[in-house]
Amino acid sequence: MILIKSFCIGNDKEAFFIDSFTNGVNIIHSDDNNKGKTIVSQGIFYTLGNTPIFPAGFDNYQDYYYIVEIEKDGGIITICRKNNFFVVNDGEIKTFDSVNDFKRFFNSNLSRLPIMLNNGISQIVGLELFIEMVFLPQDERTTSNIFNKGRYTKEDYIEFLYAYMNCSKYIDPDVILGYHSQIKRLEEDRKVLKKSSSLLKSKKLEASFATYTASKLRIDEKMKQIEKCKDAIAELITTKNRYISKITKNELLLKEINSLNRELEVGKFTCVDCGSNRIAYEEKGSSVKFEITDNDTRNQIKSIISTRIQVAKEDIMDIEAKLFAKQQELATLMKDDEVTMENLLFYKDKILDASVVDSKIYEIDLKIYDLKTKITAAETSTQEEILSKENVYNKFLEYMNEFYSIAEPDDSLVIDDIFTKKSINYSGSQGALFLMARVYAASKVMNLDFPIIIDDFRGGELSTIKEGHVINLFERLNKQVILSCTLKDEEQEKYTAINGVNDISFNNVSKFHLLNGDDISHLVLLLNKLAINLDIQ
Amino acid sequence: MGYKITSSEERNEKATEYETKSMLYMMNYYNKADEIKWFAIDFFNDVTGINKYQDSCFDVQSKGVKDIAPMLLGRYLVTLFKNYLSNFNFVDYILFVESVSKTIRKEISSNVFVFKDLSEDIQNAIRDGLIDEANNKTYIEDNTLITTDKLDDFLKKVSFVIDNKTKEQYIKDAAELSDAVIIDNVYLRKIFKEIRDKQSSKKNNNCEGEILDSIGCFYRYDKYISKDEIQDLIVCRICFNSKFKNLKTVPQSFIKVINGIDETIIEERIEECQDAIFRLLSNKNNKKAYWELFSEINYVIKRNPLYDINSIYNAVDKKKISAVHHLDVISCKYFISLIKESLK
Repeated sequence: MILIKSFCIGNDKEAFFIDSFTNGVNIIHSDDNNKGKTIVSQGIFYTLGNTPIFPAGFDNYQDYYYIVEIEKDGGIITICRKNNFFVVNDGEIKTFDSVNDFKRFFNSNLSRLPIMLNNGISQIVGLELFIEMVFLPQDERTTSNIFNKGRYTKEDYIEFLYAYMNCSKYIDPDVILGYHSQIKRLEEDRKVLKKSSSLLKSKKLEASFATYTASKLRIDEKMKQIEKCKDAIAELITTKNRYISKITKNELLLKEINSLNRELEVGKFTCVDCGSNRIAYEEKGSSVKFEITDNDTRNQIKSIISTRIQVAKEDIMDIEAKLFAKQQELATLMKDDEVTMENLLFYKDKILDASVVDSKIYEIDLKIYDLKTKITAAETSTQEEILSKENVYNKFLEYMNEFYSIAEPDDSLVIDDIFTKKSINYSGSQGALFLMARVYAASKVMNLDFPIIIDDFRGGELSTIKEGHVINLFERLNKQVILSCTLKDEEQEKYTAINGVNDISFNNVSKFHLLNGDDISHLVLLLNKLAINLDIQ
Repeated sequence: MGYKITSSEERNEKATEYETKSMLYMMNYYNKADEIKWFAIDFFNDVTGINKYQDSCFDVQSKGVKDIAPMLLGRYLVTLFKNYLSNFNFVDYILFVESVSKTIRKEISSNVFVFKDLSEDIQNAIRDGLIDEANNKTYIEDNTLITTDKLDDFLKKVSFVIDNKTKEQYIKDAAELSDAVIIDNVYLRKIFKEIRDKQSSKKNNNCEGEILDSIGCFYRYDKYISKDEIQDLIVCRICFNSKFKNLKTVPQSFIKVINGIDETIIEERIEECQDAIFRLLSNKNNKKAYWELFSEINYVIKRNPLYDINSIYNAVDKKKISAVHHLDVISCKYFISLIKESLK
């Protein structure tokens, strides 16, 4: 139960104090306009962090202290605002240097403010939006939008509604079924992983693990061996080629020598006298020399060359034998059954994952837990009758229609939107009722404990019958509702007779002069409570 | 029954053999061998050593006859005597025989002996044989020259040499070979035969009846073999024959030359040297150039026994090396080292 007990506004020169508010419906009325009723309502909400819309002529509102005393659950909370500076006494003196700062106090002590996504950042919603729910000012009225259009939009109003109602907590039953099947799948995956993990940890693959490590070593070894083998083969081939060229060279040499040897054996000279062919050719001016080589030497040379060739051929045969052996070796190396490349890859996947399997199982566990939590939350939430957004919206409309139809039984209007279309603006009594229906519905749907203030509730020339209906409806809210209006002369005693209505008359207030010198003492008193020394300020 | 060859000149072979032996004797063992530069073949006599200046002759008559009796011995001296009587300057007279009769053998203590070593009887017999032969044959045209004084004077200058060596030995002793050189006798005999054949081929140059005006005429008629030629031949033959038996061994002296060449290709390089030498030795057209080079190398080595391969190479006339066409620096040095290794 939150009640606004008193309101004070003023500075060292003038002040105004009112503490006539009670629970239930309060109606502030005056016989004339400009009696300061708007200042009071706007002032109260200004204190509570609202961006005010003060009437013309009250432009220097920032020069004043604004104090509201709120009774909550038996205790008094005194809130003072000057400009953007807040001092609160709720048993302790607390100061806040901005609306946002104060907002947090509001959220934790006065009324819950939902968390909304604003510019991509989740944050506690601003007070203005909350105040939209409980305050209907006299000015800036339009059925197609909110009145505090500065920072928020009508979409934000609706989002506030949803957020307040925890509609995000609402989970479609189908979605819950989805969660269940997801959990099933995850549990299956987990089973598989668990199996492989245990398999990995089992003796069999422990051996394989060892096998892998050993295999890896063996593969490395093997690679080295293969490389060595290949190098050996390459070397053998090079050597073989050398031998082949050696053979070629020597065969050519042999041919060359044979041709050199034969040079002089072309044709023969014979002695004319005796027929002997033992004639030696001699160059002019020189004597005949011995042959450079004799037969023996020539044969020796030929045999040496032939031996070279023979040796090379044998060497080649040796090399070829070695080559063959090496190639066999290579083939055997490549063919090792125990450690094939496939094995290695297979093991690699398995074994490398072994360390990851456990973490994967853990991940799955987390996911399952998450889903289970969601399901549990959803199940518990249904007990609180968490509604879907659609439900909330419809409920809201339901209350709006309830209010409207009771207030105006003759109108068959069915409200199907919290805000009318942009082009459409209900005016007159229709508009007033529409807007009041909205405020009514908000408190009803969200179960707001916070007092409602409706400035100029008769705006739009509400008929008396309608008035009565409206008051009755607000009575049903069972909380503090502060209404204000300007009554005609003949209506002055209107509300005194109604049971359950707190009649507050502003008739004695000087026009355009709400603040006076008498109430300064009240201000000082209140400020004292807040350890604010008026003189120093 | 096969046909038996008779009346072939079988005695020729022996005769030529002894001619060669006598020549080799003169080259190897004769005390004035160093003076001899040429051997005139079948010119003045069977073999006549001529000195460098071509003004001294060392005359040799060879007779491949066994058991020569004193009188026959005297007859064989006739050609030598003729030369004695000529104008040319004959320094020594050698009768080279296969063997002498027992009677003579009894009186001599070595294979070389002179006239006065013999007893008077044998001397007389020899003298008689000579006088007889001299008068009979037409070698000596002027019989009046055959006087006792001349005979005695001549006989004082004669040396008798009995062959006491094998063919192989004559060859082997012709060159100062290193002990490491292994030559088999068969091959040595082949060398001997080669020399003999060459020697006897010189006999084909017919110059019978020619009048000589000087000793040096032998050159004109190409009836000579130079001593160096024979020596070079012998060294060359033996050297390569022995080296080719074991060509794998790198000559010690050559190692210094190839020091610094990459080990992997050393064998290849050596084989290339060997190939060059094979070509060099096989090229029949190259004879003159080859022997000139070989002779030069041999000479340098003999003259400078302490020279190493590089020094020898430097001393050799490079023109001679290029004349053989097949040798480059390294293979020439290899060539030199093979030769040097064969010599003492």
